[in-house]
Amino acid sequence: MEKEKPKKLRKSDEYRRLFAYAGRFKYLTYASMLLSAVSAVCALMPFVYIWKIIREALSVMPDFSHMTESVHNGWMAVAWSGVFVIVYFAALMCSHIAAFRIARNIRQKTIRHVVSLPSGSLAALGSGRIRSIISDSSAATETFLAHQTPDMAGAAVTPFAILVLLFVFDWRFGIASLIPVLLSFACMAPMIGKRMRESMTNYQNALAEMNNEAVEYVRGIAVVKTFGQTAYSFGRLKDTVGRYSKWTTAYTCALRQPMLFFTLFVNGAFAALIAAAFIINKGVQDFPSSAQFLSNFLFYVIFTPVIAVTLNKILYSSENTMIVEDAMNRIDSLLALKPLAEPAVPMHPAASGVSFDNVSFTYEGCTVPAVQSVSFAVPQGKTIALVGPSGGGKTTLASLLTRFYDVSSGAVRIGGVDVRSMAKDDLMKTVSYVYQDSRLLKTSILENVRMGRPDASREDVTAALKKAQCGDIIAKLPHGIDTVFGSRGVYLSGGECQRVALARTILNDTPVVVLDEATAFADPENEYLMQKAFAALSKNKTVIMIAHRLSTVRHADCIYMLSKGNIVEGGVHEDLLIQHGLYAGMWNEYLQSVDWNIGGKKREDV
Amino acid sequence: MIEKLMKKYALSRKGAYDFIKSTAACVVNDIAMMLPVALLYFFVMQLLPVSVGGTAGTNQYRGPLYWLCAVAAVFLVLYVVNWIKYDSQFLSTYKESAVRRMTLAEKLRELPLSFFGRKDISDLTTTIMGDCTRLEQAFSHWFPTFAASIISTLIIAVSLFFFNVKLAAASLWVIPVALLIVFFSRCVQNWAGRKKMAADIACADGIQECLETVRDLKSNNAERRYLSGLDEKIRKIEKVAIKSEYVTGVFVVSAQMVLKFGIVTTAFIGSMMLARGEIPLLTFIMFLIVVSRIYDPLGLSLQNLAAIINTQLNIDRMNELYDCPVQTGTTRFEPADSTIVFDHAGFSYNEGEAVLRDVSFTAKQGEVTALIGPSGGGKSTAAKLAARFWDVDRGAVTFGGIPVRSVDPETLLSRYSIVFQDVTLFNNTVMENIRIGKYGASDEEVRAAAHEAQCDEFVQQLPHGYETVIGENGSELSGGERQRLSIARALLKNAPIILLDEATASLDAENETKVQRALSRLVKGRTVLVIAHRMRTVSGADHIVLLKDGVVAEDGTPEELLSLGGLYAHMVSLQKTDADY
Repeated sequence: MEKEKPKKLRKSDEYRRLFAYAGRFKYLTYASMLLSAVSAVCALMPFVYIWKIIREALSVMPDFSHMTESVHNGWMAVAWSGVFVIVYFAALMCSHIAAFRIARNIRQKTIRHVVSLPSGSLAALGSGRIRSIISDSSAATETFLAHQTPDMAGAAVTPFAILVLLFVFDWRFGIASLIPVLLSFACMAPMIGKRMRESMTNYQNALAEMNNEAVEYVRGIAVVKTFGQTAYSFGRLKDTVGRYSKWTTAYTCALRQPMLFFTLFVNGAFAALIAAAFIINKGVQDFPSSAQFLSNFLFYVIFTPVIAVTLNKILYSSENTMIVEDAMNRIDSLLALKPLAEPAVPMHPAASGVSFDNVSFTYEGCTVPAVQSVSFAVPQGKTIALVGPSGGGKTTLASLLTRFYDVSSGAVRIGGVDVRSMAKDDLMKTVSYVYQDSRLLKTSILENVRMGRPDASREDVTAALKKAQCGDIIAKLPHGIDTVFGSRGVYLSGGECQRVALARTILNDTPVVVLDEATAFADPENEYLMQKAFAALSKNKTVIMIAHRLSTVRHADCIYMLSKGNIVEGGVHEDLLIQHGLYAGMWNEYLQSVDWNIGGKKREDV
Repeated sequence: MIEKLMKKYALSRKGAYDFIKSTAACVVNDIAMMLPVALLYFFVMQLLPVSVGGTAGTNQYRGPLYWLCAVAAVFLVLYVVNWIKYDSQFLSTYKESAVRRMTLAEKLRELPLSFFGRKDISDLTTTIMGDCTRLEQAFSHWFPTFAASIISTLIIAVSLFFFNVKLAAASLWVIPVALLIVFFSRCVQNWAGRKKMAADIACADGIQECLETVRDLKSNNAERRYLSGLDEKIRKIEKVAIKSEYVTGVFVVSAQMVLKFGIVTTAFIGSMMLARGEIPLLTFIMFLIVVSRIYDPLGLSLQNLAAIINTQLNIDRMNELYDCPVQTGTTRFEPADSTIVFDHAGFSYNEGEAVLRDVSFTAKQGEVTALIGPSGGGKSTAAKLAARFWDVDRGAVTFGGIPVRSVDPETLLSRYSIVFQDVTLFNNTVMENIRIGKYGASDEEVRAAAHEAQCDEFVQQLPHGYETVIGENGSELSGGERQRLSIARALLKNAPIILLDEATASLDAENETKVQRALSRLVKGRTVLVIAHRMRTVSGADHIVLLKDGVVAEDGTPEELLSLGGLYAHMVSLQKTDADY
């Protein structure tokens, strides 16, 4: 019995964790436990009446026609079975409603938390893993609460009811039938021990890893195909499948002996009863034995399978407890990630000048800072450009402004207010970030454009689309701005998505705009249109541009050259050219590359 | 039989054998579990007086030692039978599930890429892994025990009828009733399960979309609104789940519960028959003992009935995947040269929405052919048709005179080096990401290719150099860095046909120059098909094909097209303005 204690503690711990999501619905779970316990007792009652039937038969034998009570006893047995079924149904109903609600609350809370995390840390986790935690782990708690909980309550009551019956009939047979129970408990101990739990975690990890790898594989199937890879040569998938296989096999093998002995003991009551019969009835030779003794013996013979079924339920529930524990751990691992801190007293900037003061930032797990002690200012209404070799820290620097990450040291300010002291919504109303791969939602173009300003009218949206040069896009869509993006046959190229996203930004009309490498993939037509849209967007705004294309940044009010996380040069285009530094070099390269061709004719020149 | 099982349950041949084996083991095990009943029967017999058929007090009495041996023997048999059952049930299924996963991954690879356009990626991964895990559970725990419990229960039931038909009917009526309920619930559950699965998938897709667009949602302060929409989907799951649970739960639980009545009616009817002298006491007792145990295997299996029935949906989906037609073709492919010809090719992703209407052009070996034109004009599609990512609907694409649709896709693809516009990287080291280009390439080869593709500079800055793991789809890298990695792959592969789809678009000028040089060395004597938007990248091509609205609008050398004063000339002038801006 003592062995059970830590397990019980742990179990109540699971319930505490689960009930944190239950609200009032936890009372439904309690109700289901109570009903299930009642039904478990009801389930035992028919056996009492069967015993009565047997006893009567044995007491009148060999002339059975003197049996008078048996019809009544038979009906009672049927009635109790009926009561049991009804009560058990009620228990299941309660537990299911509570379970579904808890799973729903877990899903809602987790996705909300995930959304509040800094976008940077989300990218590191991988969307497949997060989705699987939110969908699958919550489903695991569902099964546990809906079926396991009432069954457990029933299983917990049954031994006590059996103990009671033990005194009602013959305590010696009772003890005999409990011996195999205790032995099987002893066999279960290693199955729920620490080592087994570790193996369970390993197994779950292997499963998660394999799932993640499968997402990778499916996502990269085009690459896999073009480079003549097979699933077998795609090493990571094969490895994780192999590892998973290994863990499941190891787990199964480790459980084999305990399981075999458990099964043996659970079904071994017959041996204990035969032995007990010999001991109790020392003079067995003097048979025929008394009707009392015989009917008691038969009662236990018929009754012990119920104990076996109960024990089986307990066994599987401990496995399920481990599964739910693991699921909760996964959910908690998500919830443990720190969301972006919201300021206690949010401040609102009065102006829209941007300043970077001695800003440094290091990616988690990196030793070399991506940005180091960078300081510069963008006066309100001016345009600055960040240029430099890729990997120089341009994008990192700009993303600190919208708190994609938070600075490691220093501060980014808008109108003199640290972005970390601004409410998130306020910050987003102040700064727009035009990503190079903006995404559209699977909803209408209209809703996509007014995502940031749901109250905007159709006219506003149409005007913004026009400014973003989206006329040609809307014209070709079957239902104009009401066309649902991502629906059948509605396809927009990267550049077109980009322009729709630009319309969104134009509609948001924030005083500060960050443009990130936005034209890399656009075709000439698109690019030309996008440049016009940028011009519309940037008017009277504080703008930070990130670009490789020097032609687009030439007219900026100030150009900063970033290399290896530092600003190495700064000034207007003409000044920088005179310096004959890195920028001048890049500019010359750029001019040259305009004349450079991939084509065959120039090959000989190389 | 094996074939039928394989088909019905999406099993491999070995898996089907193992399934039969483990079912057989379960049947033997269930029947062996009746040995204690026999033992108890004979023991009770010697406790009863001769007047009611017992052997008490006769010379047939057996002492404790006899019973000890008998019990030990039964234990030994049970132990051995259980061991066999355990191994055949669990170990072999887990092996099968590894096989199944790899087969499925292989199958996915063989499917034409058009398949992936239709199916949502989250749907696919749910299929591939979620279903595997579930089927694994089904074939280790549920199916064999269920099948076996029915078989063994029937065997025991039949033998009970030999003793007494009437009493056997009183004990066994619950089995056909339970099975009938099972049959009905199957129909209901399939219907309800489909609805539940649809709700689950809608929610999973919603979560996926939310995770993918979270950046945009947040920067538009739209996350709360999106989440309330998602809440709707989550609530829908709850609603559908409760509904389906009430409909199916009632059936499933009642199938289990009805079994509980078996022993009650046996005792009831049995006692009445006993009173009327229709059966001897020993028969009555034996029936009670048997009936107290006979339903256990079936009852345990019925607990998983819902799961068993739901599994059919997973199996169906798996089979749907297996049944998808794959692209086939000859592996003997010996083209005269590597010239690619489009001959009146037409193609549409969706019926009635032609992307290519009637496209004819030739990309000669040893020449650089540039595909240009507005977005959606069919450039990328044409390039992918050249490599048989899809099959043309009309006309033909030929490689050295041989229609590509007659060639096995893998054999064909081995002749192509491709750099896609949307670079796909794997959550693996830089080294392995490049090595994908050529199976079994040495570290030196990989480094050399990386060097050519100008990767050295940024790779050295990564914390572990070439051994750095670069995150899901290379999330730790910039656009230009990702593109250079994918160029390194193509350089490593070094095939006779080169497809470059916006290969250098996101590189800065300096790197573009260097990469272009590396690519130029690669193009010698090969067929090169370039898709580019920047006119300066294509103006030196040998041959330009301008695609617009699914047809070839202009075709010729850059000079010819320029003098034509058409769309090409317009595009060039647009970009000139841009450069002067």
